[in-house]
Amino acid sequence: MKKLTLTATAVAMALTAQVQASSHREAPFIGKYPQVDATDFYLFMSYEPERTGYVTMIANYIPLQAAYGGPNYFPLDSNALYEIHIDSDGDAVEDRTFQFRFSDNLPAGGVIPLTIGDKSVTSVLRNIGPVSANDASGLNHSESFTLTLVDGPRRSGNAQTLTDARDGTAEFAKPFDYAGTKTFGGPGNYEDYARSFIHNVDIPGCEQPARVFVGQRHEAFKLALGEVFDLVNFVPVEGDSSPGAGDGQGFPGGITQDPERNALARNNVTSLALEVHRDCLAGEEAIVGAWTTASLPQATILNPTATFDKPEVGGGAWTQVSRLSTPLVNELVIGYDMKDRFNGSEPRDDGQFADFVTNPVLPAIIDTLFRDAVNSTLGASLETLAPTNLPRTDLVAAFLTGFEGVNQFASGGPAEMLRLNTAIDPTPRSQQQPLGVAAGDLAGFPNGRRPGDDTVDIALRVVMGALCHDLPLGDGGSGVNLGFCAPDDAAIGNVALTDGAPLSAADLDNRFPYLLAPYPGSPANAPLPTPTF
Amino acid sequence: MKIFYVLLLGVTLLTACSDGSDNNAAVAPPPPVDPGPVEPPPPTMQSFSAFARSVFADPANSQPRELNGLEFVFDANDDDFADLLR
Repeated sequence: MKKLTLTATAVAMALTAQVQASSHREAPFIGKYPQVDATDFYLFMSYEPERTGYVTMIANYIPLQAAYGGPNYFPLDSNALYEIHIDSDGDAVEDRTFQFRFSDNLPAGGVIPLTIGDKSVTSVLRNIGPVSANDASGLNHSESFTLTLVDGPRRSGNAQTLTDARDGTAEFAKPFDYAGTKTFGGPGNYEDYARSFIHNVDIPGCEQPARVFVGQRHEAFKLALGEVFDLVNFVPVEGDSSPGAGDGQGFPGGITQDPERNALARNNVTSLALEVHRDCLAGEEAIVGAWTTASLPQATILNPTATFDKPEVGGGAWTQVSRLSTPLVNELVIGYDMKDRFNGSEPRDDGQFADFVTNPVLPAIIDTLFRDAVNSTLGASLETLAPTNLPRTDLVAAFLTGFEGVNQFASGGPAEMLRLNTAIDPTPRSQQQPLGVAAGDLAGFPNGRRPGDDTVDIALRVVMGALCHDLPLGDGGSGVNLGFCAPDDAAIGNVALTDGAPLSAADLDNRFPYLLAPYPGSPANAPLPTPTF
Repeated sequence: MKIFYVLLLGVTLLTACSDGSDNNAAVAPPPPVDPGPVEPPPPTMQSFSAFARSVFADPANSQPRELNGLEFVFDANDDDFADLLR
């Protein structure tokens, strides 16, 4: 075993791993309903300057948006209920829920008419003229939303409609998607337009106003999506001596960091972003748990003579069809036949999924795909690449309970939700570590999740046994074993696994809503969005 | 000889039903019997249009109806849901 460990250590030094994947079209049924398909959920202490004490929550929906997808682009579902749930006592039951409902709106006089010959005919496109923060007269179809806060159970608690702190209205506007630079008057104008849709919100009983923004954003999740799901069609170990070194001195044949590997670089998502002060979220403990869901009416009747207002009618109980908190759980942990069950479930009932965590399949798949190649390349004789500490209590901590002293509630059972210790100050953007807690940055994943946390690489390493090895959490960054398992249990647990698609906080804005302006629908081959603040 | 065999069988049965020394001693419980696969209850037949109407009658905050265990009869006619679309 000593030889095995030494070999694995050598592999680890040669590899600097990162793995990312989130929740894009992850289950058979939800793939039919992209408008209510949650793709990513972020929960972190705001690190924008002057926003000390605020918690940012971002729920992304509608995966894999091709920016040029006009003329309708990507409205949210006005028949759906989008929610962000907060657990403030660790019982895996929501104590507060923020509910978003959307409306599709035509101009006051209906679709903009054009006079063609002697007839007035309604125009054919969603936008027929320039659009700006001050002039949306060229827009046929706009969206707005209401925001409701429910104290207690989401379906029976005390519901209060939240209002705009500026004028007391309960209807919040949502910006039009980034059709292209001509519609918005030139490159760079879209972000000014979009930022005019950041609303200050009064929350009853909360001294500090919240902020809300709902709109299209550039996909922040970075992943070699096609290759990962093509039986991991690359060697997922760092091929350089360190990420980005460019020396090819890492694992022989291993993948190297290249932003071009990110298959989602020209895709957008739609973000529901909310920033609320921690005093209005946390209970007696400083820790909050959170997750997002989307629900549809249980029955839908299609209108055979559809109109803009009524292409269908929904009725009956809200029925949850999407659920997301920790990235990659449903995608890579839950069994294929149970993924849609997971999407319809609540954290308090997660005992039904325990086997998928304690006895995970993914390490066995990676072992099958790569063990022979690893042994051949290194001249090693590893018996298995998969961790042998079954049941995997390390994964129970990572996915279901949080870590004692960091983000674990004092009481409460295992349940899958992001947990954030709001007493841990945020790390400034320039100092954030993409590998989060595993790199000694306690303000990062899995203590909540920031947009710049490379959760693909983190998750891949954790699943393959990173928590069995020392982490730099001791004094002066010294190594600490968390006590779940031993290095001998995880032959490649200290290997730098990666998908080669780098991600860091420097790729994102330093202000709410943090995710960048969308990739434009036009012109073709426009440059990728870059931080503006 | 036939009577002897009958008596012998009776003694054997009695012996088998006791612990051989004390008739008042507790009898060991029989090993659990695997009932084998349990047959699921037959599905309940349900008119789909009637079901849809009943779902629409539920308020949004009620619990969704369970569908497992139902088998639908698709008996809806054209415009059957016209009233729900109004």
